[in-house]
Amino acid sequence: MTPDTVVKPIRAITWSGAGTADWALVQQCAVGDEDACTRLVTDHQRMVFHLALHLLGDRQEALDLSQEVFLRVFRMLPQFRGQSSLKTWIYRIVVTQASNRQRSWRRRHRALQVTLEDHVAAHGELADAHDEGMPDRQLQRSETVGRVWDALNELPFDQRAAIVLREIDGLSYEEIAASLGVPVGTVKSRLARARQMLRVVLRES
Amino acid sequence: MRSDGCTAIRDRLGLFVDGELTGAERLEVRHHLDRCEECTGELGALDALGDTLRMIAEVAAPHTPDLAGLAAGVVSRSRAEADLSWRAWFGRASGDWQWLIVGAGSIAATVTSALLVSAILAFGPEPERRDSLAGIITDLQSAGVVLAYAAPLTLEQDIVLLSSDDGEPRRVHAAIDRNSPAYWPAVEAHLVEELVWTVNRSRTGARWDDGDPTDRLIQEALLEEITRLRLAEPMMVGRPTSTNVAVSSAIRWRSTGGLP
Repeated sequence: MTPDTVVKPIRAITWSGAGTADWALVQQCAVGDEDACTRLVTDHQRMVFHLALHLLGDRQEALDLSQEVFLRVFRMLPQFRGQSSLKTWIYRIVVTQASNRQRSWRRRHRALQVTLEDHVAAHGELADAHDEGMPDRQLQRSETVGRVWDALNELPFDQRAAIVLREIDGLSYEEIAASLGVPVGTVKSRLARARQMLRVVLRES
Repeated sequence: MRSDGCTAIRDRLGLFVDGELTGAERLEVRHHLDRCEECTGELGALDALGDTLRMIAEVAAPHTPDLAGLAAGVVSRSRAEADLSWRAWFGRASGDWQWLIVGAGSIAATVTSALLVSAILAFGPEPERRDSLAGIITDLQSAGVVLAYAAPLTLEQDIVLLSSDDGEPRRVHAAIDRNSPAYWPAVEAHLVEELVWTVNRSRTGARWDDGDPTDRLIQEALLEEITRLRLAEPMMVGRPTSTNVAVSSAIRWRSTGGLP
């Protein structure tokens, strides 16, 4: 491997249909096993919350959406046929619910939305071992992240969902297509447009 | 300088970064990047974008709210929703099978009753009229009813039955309940009394032909008048209603009947 080889972090997620464990968990939940239902939520709650946060850009909205998503998951469990993995299925519900919610919410609360830049500036979460003693670099990174966050929130929802699922959640094109309910070709074009817009922001920063 | 080759490669850089190219395509892009600084810069920009986006996730991660209560809340709400659903209601009813049987039995009984009543109304006999023969018999058998009645035995014979409160036919003088004036308006009671008197006077038995012709005319007139009065008044419970039959029969009163 050459030094300039691009190493892409890929999340360790198995997507090839529902596994035995997934299927057993779903069956237990479907018959009202509360322990199984609790396990289903705890196993997926961080994934759901973070995706909701990245799609909506607001923590409280993401938390509310997480509850809605799991309620919908339980309502729709009898329809789960195991054609995709349980995670894919839940991802799709998150995206659908977020798409429905962001239309009205963003219109109403845009002025009140707290940007990540503000959040980072206030808390300085980006400090790490490399940044210690280098406050200028830390500030620069914080500003960059804040701008990209703002730009991300300005993207059309479909493009935002595609780039979040790819870059943050590390899904393959096929998995993104399944989660968004669109062909792989559409995923490619959405990703290309999203990257184009975000790169402009990065270049300016 | 940017060439056509660069344009083709850059169109695929996103796929290259995402690991979505085939082995041959990936090798082609790799070879181009080895000799094109501009496209390599483009690749770096794409990588930087990805890194920045992943940094967003890193920023948010430490501030993930406490999700410990999420599962309990969701499971509780989900169970409450399920309890309200019709499917759950049906499941409970199925589990409690005796109530299912009671419910099914009630429905079956209701349907059967409705069908029976409908069949009776559609195919059954007409309701009994009080001035019909069956109604008259019913009245005759009703306690406390005093009734003058004539029923044909044959085409030529009519019989006068005078019933008392025990439902048994009696002689005329025993048939009229004089102690029940409430049923009989004064005029009507008087006429009935006259009728009874003339019948008893004119014959010892019940043979009409044995009676005096004058008395017979008087009796017919009395019966007609009694009938007129009774038909003119509103029907009363327990009131004789078949005098009209008696009158019509009395006109063609020709023979005797063996009054008891």
